[in-house]
Amino acid sequence: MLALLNALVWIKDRKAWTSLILALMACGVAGHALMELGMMSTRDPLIFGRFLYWSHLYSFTVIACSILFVRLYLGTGRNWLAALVIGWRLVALVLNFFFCEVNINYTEIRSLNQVAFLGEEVSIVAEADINRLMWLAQTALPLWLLFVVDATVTRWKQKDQPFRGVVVGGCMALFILLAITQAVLSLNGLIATPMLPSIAFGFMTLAMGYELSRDVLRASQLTSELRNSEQRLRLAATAAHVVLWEWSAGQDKIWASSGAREFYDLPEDQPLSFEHFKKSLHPDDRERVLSVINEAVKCGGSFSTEYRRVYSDGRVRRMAGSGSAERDPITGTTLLRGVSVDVTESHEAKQTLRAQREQLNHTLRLATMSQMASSLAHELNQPLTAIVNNANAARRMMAKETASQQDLVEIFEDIVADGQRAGGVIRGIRTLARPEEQERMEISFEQVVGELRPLITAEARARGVEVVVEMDSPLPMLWGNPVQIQQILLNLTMNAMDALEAPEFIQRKVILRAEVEAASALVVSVRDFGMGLTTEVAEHLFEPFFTTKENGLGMGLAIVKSLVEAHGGYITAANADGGGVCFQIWLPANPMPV
Amino acid sequence: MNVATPKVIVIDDDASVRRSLARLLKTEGHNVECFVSAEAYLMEVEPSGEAACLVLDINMPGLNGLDFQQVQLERGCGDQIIFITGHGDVPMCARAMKAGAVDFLPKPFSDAELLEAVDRALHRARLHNEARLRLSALTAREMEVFRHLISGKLNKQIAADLGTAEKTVKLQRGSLTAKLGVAAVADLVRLAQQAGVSPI
Repeated sequence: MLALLNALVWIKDRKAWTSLILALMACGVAGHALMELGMMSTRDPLIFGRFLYWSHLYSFTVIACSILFVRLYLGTGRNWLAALVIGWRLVALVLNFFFCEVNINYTEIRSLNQVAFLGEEVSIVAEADINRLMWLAQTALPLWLLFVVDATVTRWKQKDQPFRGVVVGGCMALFILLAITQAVLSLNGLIATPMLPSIAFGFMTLAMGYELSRDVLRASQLTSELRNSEQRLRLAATAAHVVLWEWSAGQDKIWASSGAREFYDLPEDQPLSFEHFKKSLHPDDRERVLSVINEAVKCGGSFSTEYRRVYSDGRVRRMAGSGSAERDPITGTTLLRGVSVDVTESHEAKQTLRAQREQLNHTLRLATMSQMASSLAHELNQPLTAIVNNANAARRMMAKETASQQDLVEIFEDIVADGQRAGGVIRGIRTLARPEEQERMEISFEQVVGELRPLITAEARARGVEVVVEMDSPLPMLWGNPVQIQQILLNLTMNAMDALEAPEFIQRKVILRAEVEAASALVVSVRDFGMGLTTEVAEHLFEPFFTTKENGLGMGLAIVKSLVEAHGGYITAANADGGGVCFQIWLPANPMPV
Repeated sequence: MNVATPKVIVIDDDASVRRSLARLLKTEGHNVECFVSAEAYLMEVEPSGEAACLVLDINMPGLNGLDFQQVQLERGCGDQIIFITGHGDVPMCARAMKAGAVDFLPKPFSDAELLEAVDRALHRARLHNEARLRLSALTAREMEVFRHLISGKLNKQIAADLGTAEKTVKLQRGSLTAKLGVAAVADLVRLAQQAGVSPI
C-alpha cells in the first residue's frame, strides 16, 4: 500500500525522488518479510537456504534505499560512508549470488528445529556450517547504523528545523539497531528465534512514510499559501507597473506575470516568447542586452541593465530589467528570473534635470565671463595693438628702405607671438562660452589651466592682482569634463580676487596650487590674502543663494561644489595661516569608469 | 632760438606693445625711451624742466595713466601726454583732455594717428621748452611782474600788489619785454601758456 501510494506520488511529481525511494524500500521490506515467512514455514533445510539466499536482495534494497533517503531527505550524511556501505553490501550480494553454494550465511544447513513463536511452530536453523564470508555481509551493518546516526547528528546541529529530520533519523537509527541486532543474533544461533528484521524494517518504513505524508500535507498547505502570496505579488506588481518574468535559458517560452501582455505589446493569442522579446529590442541596444543575458546564463549570479523597446506602433520606451540566474542542479538548465520596469518617465525627468543643470552651469559661466568682458577685451587688444604697430613699423621701414633683415625677422617673430597670444585668449573664451558637452574624457590638469590662464591673467591685470600658479610636475591625469574643471577654477579665482577688492589689502596676491597626493589624487588649492571667513559665512558658504556680495547671485560656490562632486571629489574652505581664505579641492586621479 | 628735439617716452606695462611702439616711433626717427610703469619713469628720470612727449597706457598696475598725469601737473612738468587705452570711456577721455592731454587713442590705432599725435605733442613740447628757455633769462623780480602782467593787471595795480612805485614796475616791464622780444600782453600770455607759467 505504502509502496503504491508513494510510487503514485512519484509518478505525479517526478522530482519527488524520496517518494520513489520509499516505494522501493517498502517493496524491499515486503519482499524480506515474505522470505522470512517462507523460512519460518518450511521444514526443508534446502528451501530454508534458498529463502535466506533471496532475502539478501531485499535487505540490500532496504539498506540502499534507507541511505539514499537520508541523503536526499535530511540532506546530511557523509557521501563516502554511504558509498562504502552500499558498495560493501553490493559485494556481499554478488558473493551471495555467485560464489556461495547455499548462501553467504551458511555453507550447509544440515537440519532445522521447530520452536514455538507467538503461538505458532516455526523453523529455525538447528545445525549448520557458518559461511566464513558471513562477517563481510554483517560488518556493513554497524557502518550503516553509523551513517544514519552521523547524518542525524549533523542535521541536529543545523539551524533550520532540526527537529523534523532528527525524529525521522532517530527512529531509523533505533529500528536499524533493533533489526540488525536481532538478525545477527539469530543468524549466529545465539538466540533461538527466527530472523525477523523485517518487522523493524517495517516500522522504519512506516516512520519514513509518515514523515513523507506529512510533507504531502504540508505541500498542500503551502500550495494554498503560495496561491495567496502569488495573488499579493501580482497585485503589488500591477500597482508598481512591474512585470515579473521567468525564462529557462535556451527555450523560447517566457513566463511572465499578468500585465505582461500590455507591457510587452502582445496580441491576445500570441504567447510571450524570447524571440518576440529579442525582436522588440531597440537595434542599438540589442547586442548589448543579449550579451548581458548570455553572460548571466553562462556565469550565473545577478544582472541588471537598461534598454529601449520599440513597440509595434513605433513608440520607444525605456525599460530597466534586473534579476538573477540559477542553475538547476538536476536538469542542468539555467533559469533566469527577474523584474522589468518601464522607466521612461523617470529617465526623461532625469534627462530634463540634467539638461537644466547644464543650462544653469552654462548661464552662470557666461555670467562670470560677462564680468570679465572688459578685461578680456583689453587682453585681446594688447596683442592686436602690438601686431598693428609692428606691421606698420615694418611697412614704413621697407618704404624707406631702412629695414634690415634682422629687424624684419624680429618684427615677424613678435607678430607671430602676439597672434598666438590673442588666439589663446579667444580659445579660452570659446571653451568656456560653449554650451555644456556631456562627454567626459581623460584630461590633463596642466592643459586645462593653460587654456584658462590668459583669462585669469587678464582679469588679474585689470584688478591689479597677482595670480601665482604653482603646479607639481608631472600631475596625474583626471577623468571628467575639462570645461567644468575650468569653471571650478575660474569661479574660485574670481572669488579670491573679489576678496582682495578693498584697498586695504596690501598683499594683492592669489595662489593657485596643484599638488599630487599619493599618486591617486590631485589637491588643488586657491588661496587669497583677504580678510578671511567669519564663522557665520563659513557655515553657509556652499549653500545656493547665499552671498556676501552686493550684486551676487549666490550660485557660484554652490555650482562649484556640485561640479567637484560630479567629478568624484570634494571641496573644503578654511581660513589660511597668515590671513585669507584657502579653498581646497580633492579630485581623484583618472577614476575611469569601467 | 634752438632747443633739442624732445624725447618720446613710452610707458606701457605690456612688453610686446611697448616694443612695437618703440619700433614704430623709431621709423620716424624719434628718440624713444621705454618704461614698464609710471613709477619706474618717475624714479629713473630726474625732473629737468625739459618737456618730453609721453605715450602712456591708462590701465597699468600701480599708478595708472590719469593719476600719473595729475602728478606731472602738480610737479609743473611740461610733458605732453598722448593716452593710449584698450577700453577708454568718455569720462576718462574728458578728464584726460581737460588736464591737457594731447590726444586720447583707443587701441588698436593706426600708425598715422599715433605719429600725427606724436608730432603735435613734440611741437608743443618744443614750444614749451623754447618758452621756458626764453623765460629763464628773466630775473626773479621780472618773473613776478610777468606773472602779474599775464593776469591782465595794470602797472598801477602791480605796483600796489608788490608795494613798489609804479615807475619801478614800468622799468621792469620794459626790461622783460626787451628780453622776451614781445611787448603785447596777448603775446606774453601765449608765452606763459606754452611755458606752463600760471598768472598771479
